[in-house]
Amino acid sequence: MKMLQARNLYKSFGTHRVLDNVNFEVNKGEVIVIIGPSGSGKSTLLRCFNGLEEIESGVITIENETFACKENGKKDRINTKEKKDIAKKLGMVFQHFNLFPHKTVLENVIEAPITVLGVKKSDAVIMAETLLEKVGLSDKKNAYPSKISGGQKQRVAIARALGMNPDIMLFDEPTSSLDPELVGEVQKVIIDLAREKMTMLIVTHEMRFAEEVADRIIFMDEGKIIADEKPDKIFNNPEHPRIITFIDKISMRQSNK
Amino acid sequence: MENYIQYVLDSSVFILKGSVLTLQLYFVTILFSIPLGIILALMKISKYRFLRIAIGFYTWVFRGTPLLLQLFFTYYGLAIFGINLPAFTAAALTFIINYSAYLTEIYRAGIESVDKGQYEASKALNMNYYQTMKRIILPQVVRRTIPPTCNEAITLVKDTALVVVIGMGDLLRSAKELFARDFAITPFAIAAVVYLLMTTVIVYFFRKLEIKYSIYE
Repeated sequence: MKMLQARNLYKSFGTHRVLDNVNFEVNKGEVIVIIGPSGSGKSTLLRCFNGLEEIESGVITIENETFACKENGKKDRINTKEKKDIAKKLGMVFQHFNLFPHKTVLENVIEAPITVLGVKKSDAVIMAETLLEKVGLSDKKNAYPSKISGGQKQRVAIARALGMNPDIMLFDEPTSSLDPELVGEVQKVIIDLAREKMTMLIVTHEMRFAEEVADRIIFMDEGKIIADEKPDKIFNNPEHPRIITFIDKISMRQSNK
Repeated sequence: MENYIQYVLDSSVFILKGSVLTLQLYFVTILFSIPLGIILALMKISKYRFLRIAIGFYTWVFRGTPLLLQLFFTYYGLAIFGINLPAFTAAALTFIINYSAYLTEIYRAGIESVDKGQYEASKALNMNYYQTMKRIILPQVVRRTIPPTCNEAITLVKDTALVVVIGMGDLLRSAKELFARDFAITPFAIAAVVYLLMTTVIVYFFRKLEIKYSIYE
């Protein structure tokens, strides 16, 4: 089944075109990693899939249901309520975690299942405890976010997103604001999810991680997808000069660390 | 000496009787203006231009004119149009409207200070506007606005003394009556102590609140 399809997506911020005729599809259980220089539109693309950003034109389909359908900035053919129902199938993890600071780790995870899905509190707690165990944070369930490390925060954020039982997970640079020694613990959780065949779209600058976790790599530059290939092809046998320069630059920086 | 102690006690009782009205007005104002301030703050940042302008006009007028003038207006001014409000009603109404204007701006700033990532996380979890505000944003706003709200709560204690001008017998007026009768400074000293006691209790209460809410920081 096609979990997600993007057709002819366009978007600009002022005169700057951030999405320029973007087309691709994601199959069930696939892990897609999106790489490319800063400002190439990777995060914006991700944010269009759950409605945090609006496309100007194009069609987004999620599990064969149309999520967005727009022509040249005209009104979206899909109404807000339909969008909301479809967006429930996606979970998202942010670069800056965005945990709720006034709620404990456990409360962060049970909040939306209770208020949005109407899950009974006792059931939500059981579910949250299972998820926290999965991300290795059972012992932190009563801690407030300010008392845990960045890596732990991000793992809570992943558990929180999984709490809504999504079919597709979106990761927007999940390790970019972490200290280098905390990156691994978050990547491990994502790799575990990949093994369980969770469908995922991941924006990252960590090339080794991308190579390990991805079924396909999408390379974006100036709002365009210039490659959509297997990781092996991108990293070991790239064709496009832009990709070659980018990989060289990144690998130099990352080996200098 | 014994006579003086007796005099202080008698005066205190008289002044404390006057402070009943002060306290009534105080609690009525607090009770209504805090929730009203939150609701109006949400309206002031709503997507409807008309609401934003209307609330902006309201806070402009009520923060920009003296409370004393507003009190005159509700009590004496409205009487010209045949609206004769009892003194307490007029005072309570004026104080609520005036204090709500200040609190509206405090809470508006508080809401705008919450990181936009909190809204994005809520949206990504499919929470709607009401759920996001009630469960995520406002609890954080309440915590952040405790100090400025405490300031307002202290100012309000002292502002209640203004009701003298519409003929109401509050704490300060009782003290002034004793002064006029005895030509002694003691009643004023007693009044000062009573005000200080009230503000001390308020500061203590807000301090407790701040500690309670600071566990997550």
